[in-house]
Amino acid sequence: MKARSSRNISPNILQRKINKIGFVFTLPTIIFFILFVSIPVVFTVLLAFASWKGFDINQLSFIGLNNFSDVFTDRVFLKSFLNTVIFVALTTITLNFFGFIGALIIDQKVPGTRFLKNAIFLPVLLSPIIIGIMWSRMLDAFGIVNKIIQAIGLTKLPILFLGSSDFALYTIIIATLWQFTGYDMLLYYAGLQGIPNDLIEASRIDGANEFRVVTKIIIPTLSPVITITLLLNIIGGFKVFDIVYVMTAGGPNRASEVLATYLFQQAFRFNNMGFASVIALVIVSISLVVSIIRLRLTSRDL
Amino acid sequence: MAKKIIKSILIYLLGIIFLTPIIWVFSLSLRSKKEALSAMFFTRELHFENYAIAWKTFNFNSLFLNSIFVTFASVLLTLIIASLAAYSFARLQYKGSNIVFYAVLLGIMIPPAAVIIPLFIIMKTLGLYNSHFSLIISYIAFGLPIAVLILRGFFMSIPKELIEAARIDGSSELGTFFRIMIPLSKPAIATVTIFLFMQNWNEFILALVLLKDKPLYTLPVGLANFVGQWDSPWQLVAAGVIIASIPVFIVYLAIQDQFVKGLTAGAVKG
Repeated sequence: MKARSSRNISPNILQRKINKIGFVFTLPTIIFFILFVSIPVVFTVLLAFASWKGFDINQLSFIGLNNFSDVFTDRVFLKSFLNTVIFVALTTITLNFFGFIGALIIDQKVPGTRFLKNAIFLPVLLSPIIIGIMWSRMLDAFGIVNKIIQAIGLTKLPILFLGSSDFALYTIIIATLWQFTGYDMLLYYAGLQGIPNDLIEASRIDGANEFRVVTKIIIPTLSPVITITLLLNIIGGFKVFDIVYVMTAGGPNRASEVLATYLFQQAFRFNNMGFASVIALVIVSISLVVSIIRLRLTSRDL
Repeated sequence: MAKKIIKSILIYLLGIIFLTPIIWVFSLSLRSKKEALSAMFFTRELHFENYAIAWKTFNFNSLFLNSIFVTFASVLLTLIIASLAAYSFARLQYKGSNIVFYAVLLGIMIPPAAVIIPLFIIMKTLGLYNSHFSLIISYIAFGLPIAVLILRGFFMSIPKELIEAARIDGSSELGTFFRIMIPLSKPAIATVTIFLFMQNWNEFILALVLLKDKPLYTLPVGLANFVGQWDSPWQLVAAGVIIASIPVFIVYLAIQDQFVKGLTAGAVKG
């Protein structure tokens, strides 16, 4: 019965029916996207031009570019921007370096590489909140790091890593490095599996040493993977919030303040919704630019 | 041969050095209150009762239940909504459906932190602020783009002829979707599930802003909250950290290869 009815419909009507169903299938996605992504983005742009404390919508007033001039001359904003750039630069470089080295090590045919792979990957599974708590413990006055430093006689008094404006940001960077090296390592490891063994063997027979094999064959072949991994680390770095929030909350004295923690503070502690929205726009703009670069470089299969 | 053995020993050593933070926190979780500050590593007495005390003190019953509910509900709903849309974008294209697809893809580029203020206001207006629904809805919205992207790619690799044959046999589009597309797409669905699971299970800033009452807290917010109190006994915090880490470790060890695929999905595609 069913089969006949569908065969009797002319192709045109069937196509129109399929189109209609196709639209219905995408409708929930469209609704979610408009309500909870598009409208919020537009709202953020509008708020950036407004003065608002976040309570009564009637008290919202548009103040032109005032928020922008306030933000871009704000000493704390500039500090948090600089800190974010330092964070992104240092994490991206070190994560890629150690991730690549790690991938070369676990790619060897030696007992123990599976254990090492899992050991390095383990922290990737945890939330940055957990990593932050662990490292705060390890680095405080009674933590293992200070115990070791004191035991070998480097200092008498414990070093307050997170309480010092010289160390706080770099301490967070090291914790982040520990957490995400495994992620980059696995991306590079997957890349290494794609390099034909003959290629490497041939160059070894030609007398190339390990260093030359890495620089002349492996790195050039992996360049697409390198690009993707670098861009992913950059995008992730500009959004950093969780680990900073839990380790220092931006302190001491703004020494580790980043864009997202400053946004959070301005919006939800001081209720400066307009000011905070400008910071949000800065984050979105950077994220968009880097994502577009990434899409242009990787969109062949789209 | 000797070279290989030395290499192997060095590799094991490197792995153990890398795990030191976790081993140290584990040692901290088994100490007495006094030794929590004074000892360097494991102590002679191991206080396993810290785990029971930590479980009660930090209310892990409610933290786990909340996280499980929010994560499962959001992942399941995202999968349903995203796979329908992905099927349509792949095989039921209508006029303008490509434009819609690329618009939705833009969502990948929007970090939640950047729209947290409007989301907070929208949830308040809808009366959903301080409820798990506000989180579930936000997680769906931010999970959809990547889920649609991955599933669409997979659906496009399934031969058109299968769908056309089903259509000629009189199967409805929804029937084709559930009886043919979904069963054939298990690997892609597994990848997306793991990716979304990890993202939502660990999500912090939205949960921090959208939930106010402690009984509603998910794991990350609950954990961040109990170190916020400076008098928290550290051996208990350490036990809490271990408790919170164990479930994900177990899932990972059970399905390692799929897990890696799921976690790196965002990198390989898109």
